[in-house]
Amino acid sequence: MERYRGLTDTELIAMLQRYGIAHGPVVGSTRKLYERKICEYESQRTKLSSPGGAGGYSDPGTTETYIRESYSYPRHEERRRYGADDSSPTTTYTRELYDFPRREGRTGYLGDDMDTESYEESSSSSSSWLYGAAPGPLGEATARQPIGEAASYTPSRSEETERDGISYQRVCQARPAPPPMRVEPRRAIHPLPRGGPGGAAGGGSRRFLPLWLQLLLFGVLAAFLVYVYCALQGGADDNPFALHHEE
Amino acid sequence: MSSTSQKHRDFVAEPMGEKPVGSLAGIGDVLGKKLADKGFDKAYVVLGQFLVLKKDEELFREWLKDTCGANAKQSRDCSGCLREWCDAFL
Repeated sequence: MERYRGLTDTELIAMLQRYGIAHGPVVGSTRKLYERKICEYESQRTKLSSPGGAGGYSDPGTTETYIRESYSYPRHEERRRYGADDSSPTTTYTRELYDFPRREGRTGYLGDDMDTESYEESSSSSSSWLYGAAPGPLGEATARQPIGEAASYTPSRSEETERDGISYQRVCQARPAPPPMRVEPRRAIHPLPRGGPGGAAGGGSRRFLPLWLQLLLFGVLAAFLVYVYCALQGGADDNPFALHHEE
Repeated sequence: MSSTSQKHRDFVAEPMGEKPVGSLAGIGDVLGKKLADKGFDKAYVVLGQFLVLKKDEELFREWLKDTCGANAKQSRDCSGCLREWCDAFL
């Protein structure tokens, strides 16, 4: 948390906006709360993505080293692929996840697809979560320009990113996202019965079959039992199976 | 209606004007004094803090806990009270 103390209010707001966290003005009394919120968000995010990506972190007891190690992992992948020298771990990390929808359209761009394959699976669940929580930055490819990678990006790429991003965003928004900021109304597990399947004729009570059908089935069953009884009675002298065994 | 206290109902019934911070639901004498010491001596100042947090009740509860040590119930009562007041008068 201490690392955010040095940021100016404007930088803190930029971070909040990048993560898509709803926020108010950062003033004296609210600053600490927002610092804490960013801290929680980042620790949540690393916890969600690392189980698949960084193999053996079973117990995040020491959060400090855990977070640092998780950050170094995506940075490695990032450097190998882009060759860009970007020092801030958060930006490379989010860019790593942004790659996910882009891969679908342009497989030829990335040098080694093998690496993204393994990372993709780990980040698929978290990326959808991330996109659900951060719809804002997704649609803006231009936000990445100031980071210093303008040279490696072509304008057409950014358009495709936006298109992929927006379509991905639409897909993701169909799925409810776990982060606390966005709460979607929960749907009832058992939808309320709309007059009962098949229509309830009797007194508004729920029936699986209509009343007349139930009575009909009962009559058929009774008739069948009567028949069986008569058949048995009729064969009281003879072998009851004489009707069926004609030898 | 029965789940809110009398204090809550009294507060939400009219514009707060110059009411002291102790008139907020969930804020008793002890918490009221702690808040007043920090400069939040009137209810409208606490309202100001609530509004600056963009009426985010969860953040407001956190702030209240940090500032005067309110427990979960007290902060819940206070945030609910302010939220209803805002719905009615803001």
